[in-house]
Amino acid sequence: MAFAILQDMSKCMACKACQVACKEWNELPAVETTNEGGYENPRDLSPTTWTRIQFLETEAEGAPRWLFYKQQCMHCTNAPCVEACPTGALKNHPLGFVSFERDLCNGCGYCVKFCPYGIPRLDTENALTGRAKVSKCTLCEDRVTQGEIPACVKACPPGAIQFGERKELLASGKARVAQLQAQGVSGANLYGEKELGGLGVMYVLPDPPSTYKGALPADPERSWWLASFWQRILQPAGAIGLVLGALGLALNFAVVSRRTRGRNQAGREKGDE
Amino acid sequence: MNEAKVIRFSAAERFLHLLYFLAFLTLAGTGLVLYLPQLQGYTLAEAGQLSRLIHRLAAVILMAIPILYFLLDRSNFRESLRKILSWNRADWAWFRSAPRFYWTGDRTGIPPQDKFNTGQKLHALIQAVCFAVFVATGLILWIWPQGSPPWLFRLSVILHDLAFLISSSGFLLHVYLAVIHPLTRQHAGAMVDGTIPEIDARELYPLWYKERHKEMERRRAA
Repeated sequence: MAFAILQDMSKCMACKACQVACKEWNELPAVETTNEGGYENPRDLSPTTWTRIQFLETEAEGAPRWLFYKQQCMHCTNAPCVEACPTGALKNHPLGFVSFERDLCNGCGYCVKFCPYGIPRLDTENALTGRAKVSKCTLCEDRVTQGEIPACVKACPPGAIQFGERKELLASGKARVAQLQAQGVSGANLYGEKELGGLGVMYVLPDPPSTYKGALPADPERSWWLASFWQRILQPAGAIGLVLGALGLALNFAVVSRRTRGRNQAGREKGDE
Repeated sequence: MNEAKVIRFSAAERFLHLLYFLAFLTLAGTGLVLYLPQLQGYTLAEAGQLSRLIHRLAAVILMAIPILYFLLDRSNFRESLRKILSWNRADWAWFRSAPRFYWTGDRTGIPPQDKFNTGQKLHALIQAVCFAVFVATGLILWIWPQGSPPWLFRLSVILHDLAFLISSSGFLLHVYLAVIHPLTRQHAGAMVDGTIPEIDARELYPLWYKERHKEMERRRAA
């Protein structure tokens, strides 16, 4: 059974309780930040900040419009990070999220760059030797696998974050979008139903995805195709090519040895005469 | 029997060739652990950190080799570069008649070769291009895992892999011809003691042999 999170950004009031709950449960230390003249804090995800609320200032019909967006791992079904990870530290968990096994991570950072949403962060201990570990939201794997709901879901005061069976959340997300549209929020939409094989974190967005610039790229599938081409086509084809090449060399050796042996014998016979 | 020898590779060239061989092997080994599931144990935890460290150390050695070649043996560096880059119609004739030689030993149709035959030139060119790709993409993967444009990093991952597939194919063929192939393995000594029997030089690389001969005559006259 696949579980998922549905985040209704039309209900989010940007209290950041989810940010704090995430840090508390996962024992992630707080980071010192600076006041840059906005409510957004911290300004980016980090190895110790796995989720945060983005404050997007936009404009609609000449009036300013403030949008909130909860950023964290999307837990894709066709996850580019899982395709790209060479050590198997990132895996699709049968419960519907992308699990991360820290011990297996070798710090290559491929997931950081293949993630279309720019989520994983590399904690670099030594840039020269490359000693590093990646980190990202685990969908509270330790809670979810024990029948608990993720920490951010539990903490959300307006109930904007829901956890449950993906199918049910999909239905309730669609119903909510219909309700919002009926209320006049014409741009309301459900994000994550089909993207990358279906996201484990879906959104009810009051505005079209293109409004959430930077957070929601127009073509998230592209990096999955590239990672899949690399891992599923280029590498097996390369391996087959090398094996065929080696077999060709063995055949060449067998053929040439036989011919030259014949020649040497002929030479010897001539010498005997 | 003619026991006269002709110098083919300098001490610096032979040393750097050996160094390149060892560095390439180390890099291939520590790189393959990421791609062969059987070797995955070497990617995990401390073993993973160690294999990445060894990969980087070997990469530094590999990157230094062309520079060392230039510094230690400038005249041969220039000569090799010039000869590897000079191609003409005779090279196509070589491609047409070489397969027959490598399968049967029949040299018919192989045009007279310079210091490097067409196959050797092609091998050197392929390795040089792969070297450039390895260095450029490897440095991006090494020092720019954060902050680099994602498309550049993704492309680097794939090109690094592709360069491995191409260069290791060339590597396998090169090693095969040097130590296994019954008709060519006896010539590998040139990279060991630096010389080639005069009789072989005249047969395999007549253009180079003639050029060297003229040079020696000129020196003797002077």
